[in-house]
Amino acid sequence: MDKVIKLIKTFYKYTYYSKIFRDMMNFTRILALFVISLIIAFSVNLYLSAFINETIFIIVVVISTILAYHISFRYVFKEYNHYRTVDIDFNIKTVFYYLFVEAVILSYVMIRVYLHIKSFYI
Amino acid sequence: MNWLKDHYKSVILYIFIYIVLMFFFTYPMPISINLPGGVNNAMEFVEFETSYSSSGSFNSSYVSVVTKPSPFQFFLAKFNNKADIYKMSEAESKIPIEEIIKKDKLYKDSSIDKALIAAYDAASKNLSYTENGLIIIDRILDTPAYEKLAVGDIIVKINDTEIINYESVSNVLSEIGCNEPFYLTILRDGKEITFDIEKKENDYGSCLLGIYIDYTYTYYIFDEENSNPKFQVIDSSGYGPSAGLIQTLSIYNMLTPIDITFGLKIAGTGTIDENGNVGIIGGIKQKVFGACKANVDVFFAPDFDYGANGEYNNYKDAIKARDIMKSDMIIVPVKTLDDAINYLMENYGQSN
Repeated sequence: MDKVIKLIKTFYKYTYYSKIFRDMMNFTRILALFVISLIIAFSVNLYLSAFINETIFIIVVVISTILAYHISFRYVFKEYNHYRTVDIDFNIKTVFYYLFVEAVILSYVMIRVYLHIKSFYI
Repeated sequence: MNWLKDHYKSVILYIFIYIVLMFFFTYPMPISINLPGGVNNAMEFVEFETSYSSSGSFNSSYVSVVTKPSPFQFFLAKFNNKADIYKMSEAESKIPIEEIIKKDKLYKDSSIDKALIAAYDAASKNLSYTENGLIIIDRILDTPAYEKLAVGDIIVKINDTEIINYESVSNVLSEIGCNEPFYLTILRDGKEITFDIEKKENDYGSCLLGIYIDYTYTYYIFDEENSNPKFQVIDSSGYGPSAGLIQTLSIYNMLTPIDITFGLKIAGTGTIDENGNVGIIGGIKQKVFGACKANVDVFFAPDFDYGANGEYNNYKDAIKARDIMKSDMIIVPVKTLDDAINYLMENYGQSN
């Protein structure tokens, strides 16, 4: 348990402690959600039209969420660097781990919502 | 803000593209698409106190229906030779999806009731039940029934006359004149409601209340305890009446000592009535595609000509679909429950 608390504290220190990081994450989320919503709408159509099965649909949701987060953050980071000298007071490597965790949590929530909606139609 | 100044044209373009794509992926079109389905085991929806086991299986076939698909799904269906696209009328396209599901569920419940009655009768077993009213599944558009009755309502009385089934409704209504008010008593969500209503003349000069026999079914109350053998419906999931024949065969097989599956994987489609008459269904092509994929041995299909000029036939369409799949599945034409039972007995019973 102590190890977990230490990990969380380290995570926080190298990410959310930084205001720049918090700002960049907000833009990252907005951009990622646009991308994720498009990919999911596309894959829902394929799934409902029986072009892909449920397993592939779920894999697409998870992978697209993770990729969307990473690509969005990279773009936001690049644009931030272009417009101001970003004094990096957060750890990039830790950030990418954080993005992975947030993306997985979001995917899990979306899949739970999908399964809940599906249960009404069985 | 500098970023927005430099990129506003790109932002507007991307937002426009996003809106167009989301429209393409989500806008509901007034059509429905039938896609290949599959088969479900139809052996486990009812339990009997004593029953006989089977070496094979009875399976209901189903079609996947996408109602009000997006333009992208319509585009995909256009290039899928196993899909059929149907235009919905303006009235149909306004029906909420929840109501469509509710109706299909009622059709399913009605199908199970009729399957029990037909199977017990065919197996010469005693099924104890009473008729207690008429359940409304749908009403004719622009009629008094459409305005005042809801899906799932049960008609129990007209004026002072108890209603037990469609025939009793029909008999009473034939005595009531056009525009003559009368009292209708219904059960809605368990509550009894009485209101006045009248038959009205439509644009074609017919005086209607708005109830049609195919949109209703008798409210049966089964006395499971006094039936022989006793039974319990354990799974009424699923939608629509098209598994009626297979459900009946499955129940019949559980009630009789001869196993009419003969080790085969049997599927089929067709509605059933209380007298064992099979009725036509929709989506036969997609059901056959699904059955072929599931390696079904024998598939029962209703053999009736229907359509304005009798140009459609479930059995003939099933043969064509089977041939597209290049499958060895045997398609058997049936008009009654007895046709299906006799086919299995005559063709597979000898070798057993």
